Amino acid sequence: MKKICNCLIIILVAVGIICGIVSAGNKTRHVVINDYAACTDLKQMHERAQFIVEGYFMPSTGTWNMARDDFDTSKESQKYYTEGLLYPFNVESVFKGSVPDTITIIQRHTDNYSGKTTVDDNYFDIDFYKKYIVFLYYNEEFDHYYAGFVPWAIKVENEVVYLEGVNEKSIIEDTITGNNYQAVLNVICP
Amino acid sequence: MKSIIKKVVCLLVAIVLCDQTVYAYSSVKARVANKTITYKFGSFTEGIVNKWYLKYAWQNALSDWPNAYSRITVVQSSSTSNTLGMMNESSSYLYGSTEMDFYLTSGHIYYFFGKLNVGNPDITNTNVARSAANHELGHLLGIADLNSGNAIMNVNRNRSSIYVPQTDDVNGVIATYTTWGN
Ligand SMILES: [Zn+2]
Repeated sequence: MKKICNCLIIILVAVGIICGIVSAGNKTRHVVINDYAACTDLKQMHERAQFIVEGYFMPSTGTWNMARDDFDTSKESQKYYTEGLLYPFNVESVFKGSVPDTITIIQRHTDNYSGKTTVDDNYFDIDFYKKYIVFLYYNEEFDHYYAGFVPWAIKVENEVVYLEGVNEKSIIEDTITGNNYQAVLNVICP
Repeated sequence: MKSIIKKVVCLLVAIVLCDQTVYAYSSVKARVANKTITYKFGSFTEGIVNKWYLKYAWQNALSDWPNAYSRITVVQSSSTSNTLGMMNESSSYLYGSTEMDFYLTSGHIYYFFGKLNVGNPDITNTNVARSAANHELGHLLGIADLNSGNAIMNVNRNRSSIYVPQTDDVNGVIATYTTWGN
């Protein structure tokens, strides 16, 4: 009887270990990797942006599917959902281009393919109490402004500026962090 | 004495800089097994509208990688779910995107969907589309994004002049498979 018990315990333990190994071996991960446009310094950001403005974001008013039908941009994609967050932005100063006093900015938030959602690598939470300098493009068809490259936003805290939405491996940050507000204005003001 | 110290410092700086250029690539574990990309093409046409130029970009990239490194093979298969196709996001932000699923233990990718962004106004430039396609295939071969350097994986590259895999990219793929195995 004791022998049978021991045998059973050994078998159960063995099955447990094998199941553990198999399930560990089958653990999977889903990732979305984007080939996005990037700038390495402020001068490049200034050159590339269509519009550079300073002001405040207001809380998001909604979402919009940035994934469009492959052949008809006016329709949203039926296959993918790329969530863009829409924010009204109160413009205080314009450094490049010409824009109205309030514009709508869309921020790329998540990708949803095959039922799996991933957050965009360059997404950041917006601070509604802080001033931002943003580098934008304009989408005429939908009348919203968007980031055409990263990094695209500089948070202003008194005289100090912080680059937003730059992932940790980036070298871009090094060229701006520590710069004061005036130093940024010297590059982006015509 | 001062000039000797200066020379030594310069030499050290030069070595460090050289080192960075040679080993600029970044390897990751997620990669296709046996350096083999098995794929089928997605749809590039609807009615009379077609986006064949994106398919040509993938086709070019599928021969550019084996040309750059002969141990890479590409296999077209109608039975695979791995797809090379397109997406439409009206934005100059994205050139392409690849979603993939891989096993954490082996790092082997068992599903991917690579897309070129037809909504990017720049992608109608043949070299830009080919550059984006080669970049996405680079991800399938286990190399990660870079922010500088003469590499197809550099997200800040000039896409109309750097559109095929570079020496650094090939070194990256070799390093990936040396580190993690086939
Ligand atoms: Zn990439």
